Amino acid sequence: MKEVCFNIDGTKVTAPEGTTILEAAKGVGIDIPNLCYDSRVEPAGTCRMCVVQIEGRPGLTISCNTPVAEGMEVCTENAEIAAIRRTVLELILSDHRVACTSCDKDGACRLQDYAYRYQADEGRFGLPERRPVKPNYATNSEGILYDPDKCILCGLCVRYCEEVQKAEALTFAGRLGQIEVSTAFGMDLHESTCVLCGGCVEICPAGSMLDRAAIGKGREKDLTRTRTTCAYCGVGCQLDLLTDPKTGRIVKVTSEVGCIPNNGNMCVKGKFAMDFVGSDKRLTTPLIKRNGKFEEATWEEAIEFVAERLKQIRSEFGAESIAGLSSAKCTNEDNYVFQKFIRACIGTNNVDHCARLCHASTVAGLARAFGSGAMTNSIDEIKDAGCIFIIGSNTTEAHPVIGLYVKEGVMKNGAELLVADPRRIDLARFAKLYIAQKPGTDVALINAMMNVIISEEIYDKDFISERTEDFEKLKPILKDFTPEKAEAITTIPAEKIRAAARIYAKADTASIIYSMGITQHTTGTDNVLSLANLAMLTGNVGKASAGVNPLRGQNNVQGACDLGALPNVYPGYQSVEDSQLQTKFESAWEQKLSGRKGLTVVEMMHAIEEDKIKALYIMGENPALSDPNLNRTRKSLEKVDFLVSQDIFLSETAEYADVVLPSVCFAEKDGTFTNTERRVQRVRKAVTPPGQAQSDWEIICEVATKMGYPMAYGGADEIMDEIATVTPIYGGMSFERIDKVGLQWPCPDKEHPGTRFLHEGTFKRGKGKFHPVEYKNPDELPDENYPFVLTTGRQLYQFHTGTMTRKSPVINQVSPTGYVEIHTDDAAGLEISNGEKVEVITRRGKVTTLARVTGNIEKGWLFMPFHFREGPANMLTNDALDPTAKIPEFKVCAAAVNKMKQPV
Amino acid sequence: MKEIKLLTRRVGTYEPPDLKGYEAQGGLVALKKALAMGPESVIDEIKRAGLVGRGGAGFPTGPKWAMVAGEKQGQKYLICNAEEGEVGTFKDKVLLDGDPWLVLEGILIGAFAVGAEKTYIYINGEYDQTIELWDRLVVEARKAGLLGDDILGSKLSVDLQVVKSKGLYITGEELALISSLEMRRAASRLKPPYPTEKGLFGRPTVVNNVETLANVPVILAEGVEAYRRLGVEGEPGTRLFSLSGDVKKSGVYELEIGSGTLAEFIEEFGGGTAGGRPIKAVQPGGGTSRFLAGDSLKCKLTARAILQAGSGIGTAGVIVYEEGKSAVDIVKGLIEFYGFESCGRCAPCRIGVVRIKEIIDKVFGGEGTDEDLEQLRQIGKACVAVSTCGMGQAFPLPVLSALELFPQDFEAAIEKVSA
Amino acid sequence: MAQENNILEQIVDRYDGEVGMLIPMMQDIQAEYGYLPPDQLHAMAKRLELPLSRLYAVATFYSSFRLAPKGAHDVTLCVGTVCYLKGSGAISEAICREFRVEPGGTTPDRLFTFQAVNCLGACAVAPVMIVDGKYYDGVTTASALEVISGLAKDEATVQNEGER
Repeated sequence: MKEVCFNIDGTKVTAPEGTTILEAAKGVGIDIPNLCYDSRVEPAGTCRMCVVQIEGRPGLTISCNTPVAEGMEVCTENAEIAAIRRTVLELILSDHRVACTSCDKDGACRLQDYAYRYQADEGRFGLPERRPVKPNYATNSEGILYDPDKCILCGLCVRYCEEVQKAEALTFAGRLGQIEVSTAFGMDLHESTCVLCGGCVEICPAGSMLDRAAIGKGREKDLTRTRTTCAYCGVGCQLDLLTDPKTGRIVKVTSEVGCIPNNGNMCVKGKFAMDFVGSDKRLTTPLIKRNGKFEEATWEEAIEFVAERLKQIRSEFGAESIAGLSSAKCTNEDNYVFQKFIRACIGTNNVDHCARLCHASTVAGLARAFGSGAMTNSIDEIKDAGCIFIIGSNTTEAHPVIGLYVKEGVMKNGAELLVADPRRIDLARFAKLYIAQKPGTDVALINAMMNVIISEEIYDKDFISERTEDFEKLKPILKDFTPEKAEAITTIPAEKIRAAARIYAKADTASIIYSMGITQHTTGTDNVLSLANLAMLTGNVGKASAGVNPLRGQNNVQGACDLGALPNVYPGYQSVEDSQLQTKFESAWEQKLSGRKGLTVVEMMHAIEEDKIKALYIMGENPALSDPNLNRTRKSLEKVDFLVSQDIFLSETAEYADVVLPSVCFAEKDGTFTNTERRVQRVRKAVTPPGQAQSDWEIICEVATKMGYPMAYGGADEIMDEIATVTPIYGGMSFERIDKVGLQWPCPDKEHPGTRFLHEGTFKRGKGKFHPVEYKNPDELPDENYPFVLTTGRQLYQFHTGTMTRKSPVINQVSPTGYVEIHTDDAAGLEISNGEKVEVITRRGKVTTLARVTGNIEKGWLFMPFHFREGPANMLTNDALDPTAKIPEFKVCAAAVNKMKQPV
Repeated sequence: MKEIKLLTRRVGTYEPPDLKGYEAQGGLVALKKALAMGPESVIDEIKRAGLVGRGGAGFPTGPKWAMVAGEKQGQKYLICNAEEGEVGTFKDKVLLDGDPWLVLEGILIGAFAVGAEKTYIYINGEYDQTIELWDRLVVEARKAGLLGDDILGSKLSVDLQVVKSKGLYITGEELALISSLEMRRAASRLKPPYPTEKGLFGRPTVVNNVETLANVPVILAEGVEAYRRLGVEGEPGTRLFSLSGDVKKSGVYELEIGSGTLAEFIEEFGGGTAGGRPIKAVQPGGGTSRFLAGDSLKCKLTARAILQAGSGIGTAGVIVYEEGKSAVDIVKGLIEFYGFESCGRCAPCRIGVVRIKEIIDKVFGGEGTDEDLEQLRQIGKACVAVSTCGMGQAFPLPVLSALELFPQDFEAAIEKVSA
Repeated sequence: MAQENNILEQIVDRYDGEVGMLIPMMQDIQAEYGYLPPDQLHAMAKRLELPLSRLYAVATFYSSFRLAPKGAHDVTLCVGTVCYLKGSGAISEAICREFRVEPGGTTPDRLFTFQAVNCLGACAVAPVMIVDGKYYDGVTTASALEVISGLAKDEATVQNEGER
């Protein structure tokens, strides 16, 4: 971009063309006062405070909307401007109830700062009349408070809601003396289209919108601020936890504009669902089950007990009779230590974690096609893509902040959005084309799209010949896979499939975004391979803003995979079956290792049935709610001889445990998470752990040491240093280097800047490999007795099994319980009305839940979120596995739904 | 001084929406000429004629059209602004009611010149009969092949939508008008981007005043040379002046630009002041223009002369105030109106207009102090200096100029109590 | 309900569902119902694929839109510059005080809806008040209140007669 040279207050400055005067001044440390500007929304210029004098121009010019120009001479303040600013401030103050004495914003308020800077007299034009307190849209909100008497009508909240979040819940209502911020008809916020991202609260410059729960709990200037990485999804938002140094509790959560990757944006979970940290339900002491009841124990007793039992089982049944579940919620350091413990101390590769249930097929599929099973691109590249193809990802609900980038791409940069999902997800509003494939028919859709692309010759011949292999094997399988054939399978009209193919293939850069709608199938690996085929066919890999981008579900599922919490690979995806690598790790860990790959999550559960697994060590996972076919899983948990649950809560799984070890949560420890774009980010301790809870890696080290394999580290940073020595993709990582903005792997050495997007120039595996994929039906299809297709998934307000989110009053207000979505016509046929109790039945179980009647799902299909322990969807799901990745088919099973008999 | 009927010559000579009556008197000649000339030549002619906007801002019409014509792809719009909300201004209504075909012909030529297929006329919601007439006019025009596809057998396609405004002053401001047409609150917006770049629905848009568009067919029909013979150097043509206030005869008069002085105009056309008292002050450009008094009333009726005299020609709405009224009283009447008209978007205007109104009420009620007058000046100057749109920049002008010209009135109001 | 939706459909169709015609559509809805019923705005937002908040913002910006039902009578007072100078401001205040109504609002007993408008184009006979279409020239506070009280009496008389 062209640089222009200009002059601000006598200083020579250069900035890229198009930069506004206000931003350019900020760049050289001059804060031009403003009360309505935020870099994330379009300048509105409503406060008129940011006026400057430009040499040669009559009058004053606002700086927030005026780009710098070559040779421009700007004066940001003189006596005249200062006087006007003061007058404008005094006018604003004449309409703002000055309540700094009792305001949470005191000390962190832009209005207050400028009033001080210009010594504005708040009463110069009279004090505002106190209006009687009237209920407003936020009166009943658990999350947000709106005080119209403090509102300066700058419009930032309204613009954020409209332009960034695109929820369009807030608006201006009324005229002149009666203007206020409101929802439509002043309806309660949680009943409007608001998604409770809290962006309005964050952006408010005058203390008019506040975190309700934080009121009176500490002024921002008195709170301690700790930058850390969010513990919910895999986006890796940088959050600032504001804690009260006196109580040591989190008062509220904020985020800073400019931080990577979220730029100050948050979702409801990051903003309003941190109550779990300080919950009184937290585990505070080790528990040992005696005579069917948990009894408190000391750490010595508990560690001794665990070590002895494990040693005993190992000597009796062998190391292969023990298995461990590591955790995508824990840090990289925790995961590294855990898998080292299982491999080096116990002596088996039976270590896995919940990635098996979400993206095992991604890791398997992308590794085969490209050589690396991670998101090919960076999050902020999404907004610059020519086409964004979203398939099997309800992005705005499961990865809300990435959803913002998608919306920005469409609304600001003109990206063409293609959405393929069985449900009419919110992003469909922004789509150029929305198509609803029948659950489990993705391969048919993608094959037909490729058929169109090849027959219309809109594929990238150069890319295919230079960068890929086996294209010839792909052709025969696609030849007959016409859109008409796919229409019969997917129910998508053939013409729409053609249109989708053209939109995708004709874009300069096309980025595929997918998630568990693709992976959680018996054909999960096939689905992923198909997407890889599609991307290679059109040359959309190995460049910015293109690629194949699996969105990872858990905060550190990427890191847990990277660090070898998988049964077949050591840290850095180094195969356990490769004897050279085995030798390398044996010398690093000074212990003989097994060269046999271990069991996966669901296989472990099945192995318990067969008496092959006798002990299970579970760190921070909750299979009793998250795994498919819960009745079967729970039987295994009950059956296994020895079960350790190391967790922050007494989860559904911990109930089955013999020993429960209290660990600390993300806010109480130091370490790192790796987000979905392969960025290793810092986690920092903000609060003291409850009771005797300890870091996961510390507990594991103690157990290992007790078992005769000494493990000890001086801190998480030391663990990362060890990781760097054995893990080539993390070779250049250290706490020092990742301190500010993290670092994206591969990063092989200390000088390497990290990698924004993968496969530039050459694929990790050399050439990209096409895999012909035949369409296969899902494991279970509807029949007479189970006429519906049931699919499961996530919703915005909850996370995973709800152990964390359901501690938040804000969340409980909007998402009190589970439900099943059913099409209006189906509901009418079964005489089911909205909100009514129904039972959903599959071959594996039956649950009771509430009906949500909607037009957003096709006829014959049902959807259930899986977060709720009452009416758990996973009682119903199918545990049939993908043969390659061993991922269960959460997304499709046959079900029946019945109206409940009315209670008499 | 005498009237020159250039734009208004057909007013009262036929019964709109009768098209024959219009055609019989040379109507549609300009449109036919324009279609034969091609868009570029039309714009060149308008540029050569030196036509400037009659809505208040006085922007040159030809260059404005050229900017929109320069965008070759996609939808473009032309909007005829018939809101006419400025105090003391009612000249557009004369054309809208008396010779609507002339206005429509101007709209069609403008749409042809800039390449806009979709046009709107945004009519003041309180002009009920006018709106009714225009609804009928559109039906007639469609029948006659003057709206729709292949207009007059050419390739030109133009449609016109009559929109009844909500009768708010602010919708006369072009960006607020556009917001209103986009189904939003009629609030102004930041410039840039200008409507010519990103106007209605983000597309290049021409917004022209009724009188401006009425000039267009006249220029093309009469020829640029003939047109330029009228008026003065730099300001060719005629202008429709609305005359109201304390005069014997209110009305709308079409005058050659610069043909006489403000004082002569008031005397000759208004028949002098209503009460026979001397003139105290005049607003020459609508209710938001600065007052002129004394010798400055001898200025010629040109934009430049009025500016030099210390005010602005604005909408050419001449409002006369005779001696006997306090300036405080006059200003109170005006601010009472503008006090309800801010769109509320920007802080200084939204709050300033209310504070000014409160202070004037206080002064008017005899409870003012010197400090209040100082506050009026301070708020007024700040609003003028930093406001986004014409409303915020202009509403304090009468207050500020009254404080300059008639300080004694304000002092008297204050002293009433102190005494 | 089906019939009501027909009304909405007709109104939207009248403008070909065109985006620029929201305000006229809302005006027509108001002409139909006397105000803007919330359920109609909900339906309209859905039909035009617009956020409900946008419709609400528009409905509350323009003072002539009403979100509550209209009164039995219409009282319109001009507060344009000329009328104001001749005292219509004080008349407006008196009406509001006497009948507990705000400009743009309806009295609690729904007797009348009160509008204060800018210039009815009858400055020559200012101040002007219109009651149910009938012009009252040169009104004063006392005469205005008297005219409106007359309405009240009429209404009461009608009701009483009905009861008998």
